[in-house]
Amino acid sequence: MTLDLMKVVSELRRLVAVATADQSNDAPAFVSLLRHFDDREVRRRVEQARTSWLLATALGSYFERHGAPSVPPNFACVATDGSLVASDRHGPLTFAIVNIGHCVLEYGARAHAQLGSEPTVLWRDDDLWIADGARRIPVAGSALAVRRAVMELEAAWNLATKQDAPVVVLQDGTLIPWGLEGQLAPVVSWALERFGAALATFRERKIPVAGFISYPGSRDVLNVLRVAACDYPLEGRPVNCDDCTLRVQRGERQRACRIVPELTDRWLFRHCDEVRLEAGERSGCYRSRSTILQHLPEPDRIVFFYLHTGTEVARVEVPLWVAEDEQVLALVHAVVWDQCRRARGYPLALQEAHEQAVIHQDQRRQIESLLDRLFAETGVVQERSAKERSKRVRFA
Amino acid sequence: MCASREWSRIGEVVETSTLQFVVECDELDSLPELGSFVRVEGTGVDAVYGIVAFAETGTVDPGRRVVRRGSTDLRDRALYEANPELRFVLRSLFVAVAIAYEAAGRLVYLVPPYPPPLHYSVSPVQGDEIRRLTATHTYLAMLLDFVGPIPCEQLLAAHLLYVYRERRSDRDWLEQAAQEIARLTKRDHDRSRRILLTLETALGPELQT
Repeated sequence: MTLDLMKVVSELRRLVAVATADQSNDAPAFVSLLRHFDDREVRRRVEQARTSWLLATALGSYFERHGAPSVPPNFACVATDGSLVASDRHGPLTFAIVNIGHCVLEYGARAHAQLGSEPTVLWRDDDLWIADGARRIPVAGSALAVRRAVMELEAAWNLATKQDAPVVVLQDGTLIPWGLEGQLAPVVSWALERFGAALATFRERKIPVAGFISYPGSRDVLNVLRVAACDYPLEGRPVNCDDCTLRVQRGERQRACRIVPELTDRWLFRHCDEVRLEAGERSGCYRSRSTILQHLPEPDRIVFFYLHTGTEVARVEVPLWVAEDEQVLALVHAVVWDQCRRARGYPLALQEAHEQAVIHQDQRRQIESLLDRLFAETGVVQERSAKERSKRVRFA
Repeated sequence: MCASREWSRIGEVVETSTLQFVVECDELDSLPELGSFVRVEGTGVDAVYGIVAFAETGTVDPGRRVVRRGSTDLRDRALYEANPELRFVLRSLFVAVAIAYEAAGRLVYLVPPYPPPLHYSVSPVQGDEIRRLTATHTYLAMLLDFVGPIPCEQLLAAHLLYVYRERRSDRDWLEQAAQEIARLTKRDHDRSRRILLTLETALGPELQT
């Protein structure tokens, strides 16, 4: 046996106990905080706050709610999703295969669907290396993820521009390239140049693109409630988490924000009566304070709202220009809600694009054996690392 | 004989063997009738003829389950129009049991020397071609021995009903077919009786008109 489950069960039991202890939504202090939430005061506090967490900045008011608009008589939804096979460093070749699946769903007088996928092999120097003077930086990890995101956007662009009816482009997951935070400057600039260009093309044609995040773990709005609960402003000081933490560690005070549970925005909008979203409703739009977004032009910076999909509260991310255009935002809201209703809480077009993109385990093995054969045809026996061999030919 | 004829396509071979081939239809639910003849170009022969022995419609990916999409307000044809992707994620398949092949213009009532090639187009057989294929009853033995998801008496009944109609209510042909089946099953009285009873039930109303 490689893992003794009996040795981990007691720790897992404690973990579950801690995770469920904070799920109460009726603590009087927290309920009172929500009921007496003052948008203007909180906005002022947020602007001055020094916190270690991400804070949402509301474009409108923090807890406004919008019912789902109707979809237009004719409209289309385009979704793309990518799957990746990257070579491992124990093999003789460096490459990546990106399979972009797409799904175009047209509704109305001319209902039609288009499903398919297009693979690309990245292996040339330009594909796999970022030149930084004499230095070469490999396109891997976060940079490769952005490369894939750009390919997904480009594929969606080609399909969306063929539509006559109003169209919404959906992407799976976040539109914020979080992975680039903390990366080397040449990597950030290489990745954002492509990503920014892709987003800009959509803006220029006024085609809205939205990222759909199922079961989001973000806490940007809940963190705003911590700022609202903070007692520093009552002492005439701006919110300062660093200072507060030091004083708590010295035993001088208790955190005033401890009344806010250590949960997620998803929980807030699903379970708290004061701000709960009903099926189809969305929250207001919020700016993210992600520093990586500062590299993008203002209209393409990503904002987000929460949507009750009928089965969960999901996070939907759109560029700022979408959120500022009432009609376009209503179209996104209506189409995402319509798509969720068609597929039990998750957009149908994204589900089908994923099905088209997915590279199954047996196909990954086929790629390996295909490479073995291609090497054999040239009379070369490919070498692998001893570590990799030891995993393939396990002996006792 | 028929090499130059244009055959309309209903689907293509997605699984193949000497005994049977599986066909995916071009259009969802556009399946040929149970017991009807289909044709596909063969390897080393001009064509392979089969009889539709089973059909089903399900998901393209066997790992995905079909779930309810409709409601009292959205049903049947309207449901498909409201969900255009269904025509891509679902598919209709049928199994054809090989009963003859054509080589150098001659029909041979044997399994083909090679399985029909994968991805080759499959066409329904119509009109005179059905008369030609059913000029003899010898192939009924192959149908009788075929073991598939459908009981063989059901398959035989479906086939005889189809041929009877296509041959414009050819009663003589039907009587000869019944005699041939009786002869083939004479050593197994129970089976013979079961098959002939099924045929009588299926064909009785046709014969009375």
